Amino acid sequence: MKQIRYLLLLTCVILIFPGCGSEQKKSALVIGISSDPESINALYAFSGNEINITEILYPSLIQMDWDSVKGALAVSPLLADKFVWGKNSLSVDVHLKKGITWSDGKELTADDVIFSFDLFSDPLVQSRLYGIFKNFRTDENLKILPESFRKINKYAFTVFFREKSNPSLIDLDLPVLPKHIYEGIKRDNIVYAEKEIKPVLCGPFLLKAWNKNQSVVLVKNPKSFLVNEKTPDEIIFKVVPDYNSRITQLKNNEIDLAEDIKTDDVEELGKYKNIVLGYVKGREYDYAAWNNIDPVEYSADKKIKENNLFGNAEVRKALTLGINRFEIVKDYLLNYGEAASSPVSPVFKDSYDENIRPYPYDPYAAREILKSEGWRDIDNDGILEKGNIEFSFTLNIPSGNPRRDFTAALIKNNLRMIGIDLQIEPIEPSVFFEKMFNRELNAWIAGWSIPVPQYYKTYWYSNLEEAPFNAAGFMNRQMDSLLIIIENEKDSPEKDEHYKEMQAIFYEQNPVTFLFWIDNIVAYNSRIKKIHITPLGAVHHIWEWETDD
Amino acid sequence: MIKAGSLIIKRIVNSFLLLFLLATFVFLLLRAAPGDPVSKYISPTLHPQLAENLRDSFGLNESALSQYIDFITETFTGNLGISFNYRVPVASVIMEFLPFTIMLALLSFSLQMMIAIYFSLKAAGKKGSKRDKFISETSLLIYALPSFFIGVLLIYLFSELAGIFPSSGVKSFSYDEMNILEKLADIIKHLILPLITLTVTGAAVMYRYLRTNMDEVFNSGYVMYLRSNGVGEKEIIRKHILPNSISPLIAVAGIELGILLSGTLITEVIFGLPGMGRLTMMAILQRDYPLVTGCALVSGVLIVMSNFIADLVKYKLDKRLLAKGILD
Repeated sequence: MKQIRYLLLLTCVILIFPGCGSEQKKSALVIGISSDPESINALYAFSGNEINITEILYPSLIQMDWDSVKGALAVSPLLADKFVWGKNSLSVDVHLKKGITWSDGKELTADDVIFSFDLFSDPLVQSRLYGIFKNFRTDENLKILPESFRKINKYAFTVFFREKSNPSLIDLDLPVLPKHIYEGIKRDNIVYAEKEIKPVLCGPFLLKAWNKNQSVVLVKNPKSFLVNEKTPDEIIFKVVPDYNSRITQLKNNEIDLAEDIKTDDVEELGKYKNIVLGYVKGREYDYAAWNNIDPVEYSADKKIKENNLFGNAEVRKALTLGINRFEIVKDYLLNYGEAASSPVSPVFKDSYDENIRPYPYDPYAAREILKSEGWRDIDNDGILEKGNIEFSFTLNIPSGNPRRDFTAALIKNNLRMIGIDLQIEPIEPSVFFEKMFNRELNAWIAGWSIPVPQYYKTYWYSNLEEAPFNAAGFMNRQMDSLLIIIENEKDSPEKDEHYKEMQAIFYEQNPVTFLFWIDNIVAYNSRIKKIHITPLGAVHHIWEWETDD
Repeated sequence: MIKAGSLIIKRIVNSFLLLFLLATFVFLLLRAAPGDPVSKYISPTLHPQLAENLRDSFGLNESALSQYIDFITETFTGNLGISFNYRVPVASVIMEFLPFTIMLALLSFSLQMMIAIYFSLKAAGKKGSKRDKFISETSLLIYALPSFFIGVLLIYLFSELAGIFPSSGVKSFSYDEMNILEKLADIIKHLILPLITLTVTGAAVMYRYLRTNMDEVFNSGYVMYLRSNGVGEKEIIRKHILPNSISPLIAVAGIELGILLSGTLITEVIFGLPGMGRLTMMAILQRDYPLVTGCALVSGVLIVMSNFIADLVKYKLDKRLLAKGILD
C-alpha cells in the first residue's frame, strides 16, 4: 500500500506542478497535420503540408487569391511591387518591393529572384518545379537559359519568355531563395544538405524549431510587411497521426485547425461552440474508370486496341446511367459533395456549363442502351453476353479507403441489376497506382485533385506518352484540338467557351464515369479570425489570419 | 569461465551472420515486391522527367547485384545508405527516432517487470484468497484487451473528459522556455498515458507467466522442507520461490523487450510519438528501400541483443544451463 500511496503522491505532484497546466500558448495557432514534413526546403516541398509551410517561409513574387464572385483565380503582387508587360506580351518588367530583408539582415534583390529561377530549373538540383517552366527559354535539359533575364537595377529585372508562348503572371509563382546562402553549395549536393543549410528566410514567419515527427514551430517575423500586431506570434504545425486524436485535440483546444474531417463527425463537431466548420469545395472528385483500351495488349507491347467491354462510348454511357452516384453523395458524403458530370469543376463559374447536368440514375435506360449495342443475356444466367464475351470484369480499388470500399460495393450492386458482373479487388495503394499508370488495370476507382489554374491536357490528350495521367486511354480528336487551343489561349470568354465544349464531349463520350465532387471539410477554432476557406485551400495566406488573444 | 567466454564469442558471430542474412533477405524482398519508390514524384503538377532523374539518382536503374554491392558497402561504412525520402544517411534518420524508442521501451519494460513481480508476490502470499483471484482475473482481462483500445480509452478518460494529460506528443510547445524541473514534469505528463498503454498488457502477460511458475515451485519438495523447518512464508517466497520461478520469465521478457525496442506502432500512432514503429511503417508505405532495410537491421540488432542479454541473465541465475548447452 505504501508504494501505491507514493505513486499517487507523485501523480499529484506532476498534475499541480507549475507550468504543466495549459499546453497551448495564447498567441499561438496550432494546425493539426497527419504526417511530418520530410522537407521544409522550398525546393523539395512535395506534399500539401510541406507546400503550406514553405509558402509561409519563402514567399513568392505573386500572391494567388480566389475571386469567389467570378469563380476564378486573382493574381496580385506579393514580393513584387508591380509588373509591366512588354508590347508583345512576351516580356515583363518585374519591380520588387524595396526594403525586404532576409532573416540574416541582407536585402532581398533582383539577384535573388533570378538566381531562384536558375536553381529551381536546374536538373542537378531535382527541385519540385523542375521542367515546368514551359513558357521560358530553356536548354535541352529544361534549365532556364541565362538570357531569359536582364537585370534593370538592384530591385528590377526583365523576364523574356519563349517565342510563341502564352505567359502570364502565374509563370512567376516561385518561392524566392537567398542567393548568398545557396550559391556556395554544389548544385547536386543541395538535396542532401538540408540540415547544413542555414534557414535564411524572408517570410511573415520564420522557423523557430522543427521537432521531427512532433511539430514545426514558426515565429512571427516582425520585420515582414505582411504581419501586424494582430497576427499570431506563432504558428505551429503539430503532427497528430491518428484522426481520432486530432478530433479530440480540436475539441480540447489543443489544436486550432484540422482538415479532412469525416462527414460522420460533422454533426458532433457542430455542437461545440469553440469549433467552426468550413468547406473547400470543388477541388477533388472520384471517378470509376473504364479502360478504353485493352490493358493486356497495351502492357505487352504498347499496342492500342479497343477494349472489348469499355471501348464503346455508348456502353460507357450505360455504365454511368446504371450507377447511382446520388446515393453515394446522400448516404456516404451526407451531401458534403455533389454528383459530377465532367472534370471541369463547378467552382470555375465562367468555364462551367450549368446546362450539362450529371446523368440521372436510370437502370432501365442503361439496359436499353446495352441491348441496342448487342449485349443480351443469352444463357439466362443474369449476366449479359455479346458473342462469346460475358460482361464480367474486375474492379480494382486502392485498399484502406472506406469511401472507395463503399462506392465499389454500390457499383457492384447497381451494375448487377443491369446484368453486369464485377469482382472488387482492393490493391495496396502503391501497387495500385503503379498498375494504373502503366495502364494494366481494366476498371478501377480513383480520384483527382484538380490543378488551379485549370489544366486538362495531361489527363485527356490522346498521345499517351504526352498524357501520362490519361490512364483510361481516352482518345478523341475533337478533345485533342480543344486541349491544344486552350493550352495556347489566354484567359478570355472564348477560352471559357472552349471549356464548355470540352464538357459536352465528356458528357457524350463518358471516358470514365465521373462520380462526385468531395468537399474537404475543415474544422477550426472560433478564435481564428480572417480565415478564408476557398477552393485554394484552408491553410492559405496564413499571415492574414488574426486571433482574439 | 572459459566456456562462458567462448559462448559469448560464438553467439556474437552467429548474431552477425543472422543479421547479415536478415538484411539480405529484406533487400531481396523489397526488390521483388511490387511498388515504385518514385511514385510520389509522379503527379500532374510535376514534370515526368523528374521521376526519371530521381530513379537514376536512387540507383534504381542499376542492376540488382550492383545495388546489393552498394548496399553492403554502405552498411559496413555505418551509413546504411541514403534514405530516398529524407535524402540523408539512413543511420542519421534512425538516430532521430531510436533514442526515444529505447527510452520508452526500457521504461515500459522496467515497469512491466516491477508490476508483474509485485503483484505475483502479493498474490502468492495469500494463495487462493480473494485478492489472488481478483489479481488473476484482472490480469486476464487486461491481457485480452488490445492496446489500441486501452490507448483510446485512456485518451477519452484523461484527456477528453478530465483534461489532465495531453493526448499526444512528447513535450509542450513551450518546453524550451521551461526550467529543468518543469521540463521533467512536462515530459512525464506527456508520457504517462503512452506508458500505461504499453505497460499494462505486457505486465499482465509477465504476471501470468510468473504466477504459474510460482505455483509450480510453491508445491516443490524443498519449499515444503523449508516450511517444516519453520522458515517464514515471506522469506520463502522472496528468497527461494521468486528466484526459482523467474527463469522462464526471463525468456519471455527478452522477447517482450525486443518487441518494444523495435517500435510499437499502434501506441506511437495513437499518441503521436516519434518512434521506430512509425518510421518503419512510413518507410514501407513509401518504398524507401534503404530506410526499410536500415530499420529492419536495427530492429534485428535490438532483438538479438535483448535475447542475448536474457540468456546471460538466465545463465547468471542458473549456471547449470551452460552445462546443458541450452544457451548455445
